[in-house]
Amino acid sequence: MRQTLHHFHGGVHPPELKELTRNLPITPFKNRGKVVISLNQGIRAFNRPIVQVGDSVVQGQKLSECFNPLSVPVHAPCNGTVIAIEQRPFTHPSGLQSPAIVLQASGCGPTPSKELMAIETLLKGITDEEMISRIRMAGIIGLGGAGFPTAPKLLSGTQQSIETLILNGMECEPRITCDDRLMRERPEQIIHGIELMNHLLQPKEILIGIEDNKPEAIESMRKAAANSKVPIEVVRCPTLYPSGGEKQLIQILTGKEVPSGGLPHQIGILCQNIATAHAIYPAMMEQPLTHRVVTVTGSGVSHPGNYEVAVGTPINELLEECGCDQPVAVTVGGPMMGFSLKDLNSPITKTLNCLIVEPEVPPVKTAPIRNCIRCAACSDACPANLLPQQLFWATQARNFDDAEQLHLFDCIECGCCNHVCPSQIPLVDYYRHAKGVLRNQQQEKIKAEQARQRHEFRDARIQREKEEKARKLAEKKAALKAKEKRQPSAGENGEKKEKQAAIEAAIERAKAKKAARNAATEQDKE
Amino acid sequence: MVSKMVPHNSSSTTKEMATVIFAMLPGLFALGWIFGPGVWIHVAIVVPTAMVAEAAILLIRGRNPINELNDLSAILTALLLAASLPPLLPWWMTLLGTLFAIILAKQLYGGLGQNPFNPAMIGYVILLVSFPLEMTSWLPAAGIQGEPLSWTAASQVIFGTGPTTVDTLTGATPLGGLKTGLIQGLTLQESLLKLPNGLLAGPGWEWINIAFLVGGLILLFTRTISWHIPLSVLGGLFLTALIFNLIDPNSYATPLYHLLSGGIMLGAFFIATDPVTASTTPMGRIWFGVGIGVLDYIIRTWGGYPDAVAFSVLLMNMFAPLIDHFTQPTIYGGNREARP
Repeated sequence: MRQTLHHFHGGVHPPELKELTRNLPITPFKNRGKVVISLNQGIRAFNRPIVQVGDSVVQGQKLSECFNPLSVPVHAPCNGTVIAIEQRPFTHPSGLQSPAIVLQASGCGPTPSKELMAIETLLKGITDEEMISRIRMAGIIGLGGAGFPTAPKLLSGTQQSIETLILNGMECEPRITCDDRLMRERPEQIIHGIELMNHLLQPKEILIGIEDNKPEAIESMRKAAANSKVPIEVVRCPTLYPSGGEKQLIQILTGKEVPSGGLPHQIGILCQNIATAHAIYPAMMEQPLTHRVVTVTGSGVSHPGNYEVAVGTPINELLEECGCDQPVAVTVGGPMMGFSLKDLNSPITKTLNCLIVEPEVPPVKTAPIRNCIRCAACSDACPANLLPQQLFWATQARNFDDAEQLHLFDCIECGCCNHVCPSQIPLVDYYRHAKGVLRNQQQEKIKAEQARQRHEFRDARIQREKEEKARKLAEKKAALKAKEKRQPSAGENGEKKEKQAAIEAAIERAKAKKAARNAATEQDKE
Repeated sequence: MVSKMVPHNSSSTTKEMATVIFAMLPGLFALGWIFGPGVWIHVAIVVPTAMVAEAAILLIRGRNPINELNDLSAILTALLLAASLPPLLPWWMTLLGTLFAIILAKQLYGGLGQNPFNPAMIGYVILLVSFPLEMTSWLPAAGIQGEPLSWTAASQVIFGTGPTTVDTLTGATPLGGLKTGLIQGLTLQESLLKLPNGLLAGPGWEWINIAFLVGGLILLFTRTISWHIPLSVLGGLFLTALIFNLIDPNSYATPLYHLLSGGIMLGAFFIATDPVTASTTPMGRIWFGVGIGVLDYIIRTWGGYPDAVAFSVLLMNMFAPLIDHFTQPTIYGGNREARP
């Protein structure tokens, strides 16, 4: 047992509201309609489709090629036919569109056997590189929320010595229960995934952090961990939002802080969500990640629950299945960090863990947003120990540079400040906006720098060409001059002499003529 | 749409202001008990004045006055001012002070949250420098020593409608009397002997300060304010007083005398803790509070005024942004030792 757990600064206790779904088992959702596989699956990079409209595909088939090392390919979650490759609404706060492969689902492939193979047999003849490549090719990204691809994360872990492998089973956001169910129902597969990561990383210790509001999950994971040959410790952590934030969990379990702007592996720690660990075992069997567990909760659905859904399922189809028959407002993610969904046709993504469905009602009169009175309730609650009130003043006044000085980019957008603000200010919105502006400025700077370099290069090129031209011209002239000097200089002199000689000859002739004439005249006179 | 689903701990500015107003009641009742109904007449003047003034400016600024008046901050400012004023101050001075506090010190800066200086203290200081005689004429503590002033007498003095005048009733505060005595070359004990004696400090004032301390403890226990500012104000005053009292007990009053005199408890728990004008970082609040405590002692002892909570608070208000700048807490992952 761990003797000491550490504390992070601040934190809040929002109502957990997990009762609605925490005891409902994971239910597979059979997709009968369309599946929209967005090509914008990883971070930033878009994939290039390798199927064409009209192709039939089978479950698990790779549908796209990816070139960016930080992106992963996408796969068909079911059998079906490609009916379109086009722009489709994407599950994003802005409601933007993203290129997607649209499948008409026609059935499912064979269900993989529930029997788990022993790690030793599984890994026979597989190198570390092959393991990481399989994880990447299976399309695995962090399923906890940020969606960072797992393969590069593990790769950086293998390149440095990892002391502690942390599995994040905290699920600190209110309402969400998908990880809870996964830990209760499929602990063996999670442990298998952990053992695979253990094989790769060889950490000194492996810790699974679970909040104490999930006693069944703790029990279930402890049992499964006890059966493992690898020493895995399940740590029961006090419930306090946002203890499931990667940085906060690392602080709770190890007392260490990830350096500002750095990554956990720099301090010898690697953190993975338990749902990601759950997906790693099938990846070794070359079964790609095509389904995930999604909690559907809220008073807008008659059948809330934890559904295992194909990635790409349009959200409205899932909601129909959950008994949603009224206009609803949907929040994607937890109530603290989630965003409201603009278009219900948007697909389920790999990072989507929860849908909060509430009946759409005319906007109720909420408490008005008042001025900030700098009461510092936010800085008392901030898990990053920032000064949200100062950040707010800076961002409100559009002093984004000041905001950066106040460590804007260390904000994890957990929403604790929003939760406690007596003036009801949506503080995180200001920080997100400011971050966006600063990132744009950064991009602009880079672009301007590139443009400047291009311009200078062009100027230099033109200058060089000019000089070259001038030099060539000068050379030509010089060559010509030299030529003239060499041959025609002698000829010229000769010419002159010839002329002079001719003139002289002419003069002589004239003189002679004159003399002859004179002589003739004198003879005539005589 | 988003905000509707986001859970909130249901704190609100209105609730916080209401708690502070509630916590002021013990102190106001103590003032009323000791100095008679004049205190309540002031309350009756300042509260409506403040609300009307705030509403008028909000209308001019094109805001909905109801939405902003119901944050109760104007009433709180008014009550803080009323609690600081001498109980028999002429009504129009009270009115003037309130107008200055609300209009000049608060609304002209942009209303709640925008003002760099504590509005009640601005109102108080404007009156103090404009009408020094009236502002330092305090009633003897009647509540515990004799017959309290009647409502009629109090209103006659305040509104100037009757034969009772302020001169026949008032005198300096104990702190002021002590200072006069010390200036005249008397020792501390002789000066104190010339003054009516209280249990621990000036008569009556000790009870007022204890009552405000009780209110302050309510604020601490309801977590309306943090301990940083009040503790450091009182600590700063206590330690400075202790040092000088140990150096020369004949010339410098005891720390306890200082802690229970004048407006220090009101200042430490209710005025210095105004979040708008105070420092906002944890360390900054401590420096801010210590600054007020030390400045208060310095001005009380060597300055031209018998009490100095208002001046100390305003001076430290000026430093609050600077203090905040230099006392930023170490952020998560910002500790150099934690770096690899």
